[in-house]
Amino acid sequence: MRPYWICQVTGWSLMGVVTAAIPTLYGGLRWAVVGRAVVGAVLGIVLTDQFRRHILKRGWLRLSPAQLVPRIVVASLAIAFAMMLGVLPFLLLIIPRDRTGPLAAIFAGHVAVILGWSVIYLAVHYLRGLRGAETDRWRLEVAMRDTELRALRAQLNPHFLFNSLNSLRGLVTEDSTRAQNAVTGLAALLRFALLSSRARTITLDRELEATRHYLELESLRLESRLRYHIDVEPQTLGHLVPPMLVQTLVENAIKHGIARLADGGTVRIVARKRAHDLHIRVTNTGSLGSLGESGGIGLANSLERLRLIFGDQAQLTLAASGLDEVSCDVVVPTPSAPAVPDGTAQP
Amino acid sequence: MGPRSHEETVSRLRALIVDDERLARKELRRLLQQHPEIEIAGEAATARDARKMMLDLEPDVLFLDIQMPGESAFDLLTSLDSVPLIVFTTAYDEYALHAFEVSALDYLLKPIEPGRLARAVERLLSTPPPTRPTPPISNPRQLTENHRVFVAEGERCWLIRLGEIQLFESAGNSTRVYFANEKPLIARTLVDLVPRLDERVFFQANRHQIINLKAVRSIQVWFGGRLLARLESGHEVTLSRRRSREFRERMTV
Repeated sequence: MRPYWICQVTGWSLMGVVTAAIPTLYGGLRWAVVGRAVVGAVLGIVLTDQFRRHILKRGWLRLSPAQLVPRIVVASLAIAFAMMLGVLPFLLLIIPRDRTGPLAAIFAGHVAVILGWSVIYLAVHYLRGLRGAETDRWRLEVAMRDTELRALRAQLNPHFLFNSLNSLRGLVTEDSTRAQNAVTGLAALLRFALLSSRARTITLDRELEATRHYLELESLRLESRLRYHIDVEPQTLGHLVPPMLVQTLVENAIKHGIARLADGGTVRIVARKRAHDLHIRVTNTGSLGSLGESGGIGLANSLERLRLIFGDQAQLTLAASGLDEVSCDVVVPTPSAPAVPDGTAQP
Repeated sequence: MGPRSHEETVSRLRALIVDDERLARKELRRLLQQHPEIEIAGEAATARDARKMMLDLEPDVLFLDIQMPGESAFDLLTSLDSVPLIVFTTAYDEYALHAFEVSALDYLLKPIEPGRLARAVERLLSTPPPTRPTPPISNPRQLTENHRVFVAEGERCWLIRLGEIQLFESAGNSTRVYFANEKPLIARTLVDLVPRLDERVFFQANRHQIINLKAVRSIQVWFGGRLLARLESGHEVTLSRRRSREFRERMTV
């Protein structure tokens, strides 16, 4: 509040100088005139500062103009009256006893000065608030999107990791070559998951590579119960998708479909390009009824993430696509300019 | 008691491994080789297989995976008249096991640490086996107060020793059991339960209530010569006229 005090002291001092200078020019220097000017300036500083505290405390800055104007007028009258009382002894010395006209004029002048103070104070506040609010809103939006994206960014499910490690340990003595390959696959998948926490989008090609590793590891655990097919048009491979998108869909298909069936089932991944959009479909054996709440959340997160990056044209729907089959359909538009400014851009 | 007492001297526990993943079963079998006190009687891949095998094998302990396709571990346990010792195996964290109200249950997190397994085995060996009652009873299907039942209601579940149950109360097709401060329902009728319970401990007070005689705090003579039993839990149970007479006869013997 440093600028406030500078303005306050400077303004009221000038006011004092003026109120002392004018009568002095006409009637010479009189101690009553100086006293009135000094007391007036000090009272001005103190009373308007109290007024400011009152405005802030009562939240007048949030009032509508219709509510604010009468309050300011009444307050100005009251403050002007208080100032008049303060300087009245001096005024009585200056002004001839038989005339009350100048007193009314001086009171009106005081009211005008306090009103002027109020207008300046509110205007400064309003202009500063306007600029601040805009910056705040902008910052907030960026921060929110950033945290949202971070939270929504799919991560490898820890249960998957522990189950995989458990199967892997069992496999070491049974088929060491396969176990070695599985370790390689797990390492690649982990690295992918780590890198993907930094990238907003990656190519479908890379995403599918990670998904294959994921499927291989799940096969280790589910063995013949998990069967899968990947059917992808070559022209879709360069399309950008959020990392872990397909992996999340496949994980859902396994968790809520295949793993719940004693005889297992099939997961099918299909990717096609239609106009500028990428269409991905992940199908699994099972029924919608077996979809748990967490699956709903997982998919809702995927959609949210898609929309944050690609806008509202991105779609994700889950539906029964046959008697014993569930499909998740995703539409990923071609990304235009990034919807969210990257990282730590400054306002 | 030929084979039983022989087993007891060797102090081996017969185990059934229940897990839908072959490699997980294999891993546990390998780890258990370090513990000759545990004899692996069999392996089951589903809850249904496990139930069937339990009838033949009568295992002392189940190593039970919580997440299985079809019937869950909980479904299996609640369907059993009495449950053997249980060690859960899971890749989930402790939080997934928050539903358990009893510390009597042990669990192992996958991949299983050999040290942790050794402690679980130690605990198993120090738990009195509920399936070998002393003194022996005539009816092999009869449950003693040391038998344990698994009760689930909503999100919560308990593994309770029958002896802890103070009162069984008929509630339509199921029975409400009172123990500690809980009163969950079990999916069996009181009529089914009567012949299974040890009558030396559990006494049918009337058509819809069975009381645990060891939980009776006081007996009071009520109108018409009927008896009123006060239980430790605070419940008051009126014995029917006929049952009051039988109770008196038993007590005077």
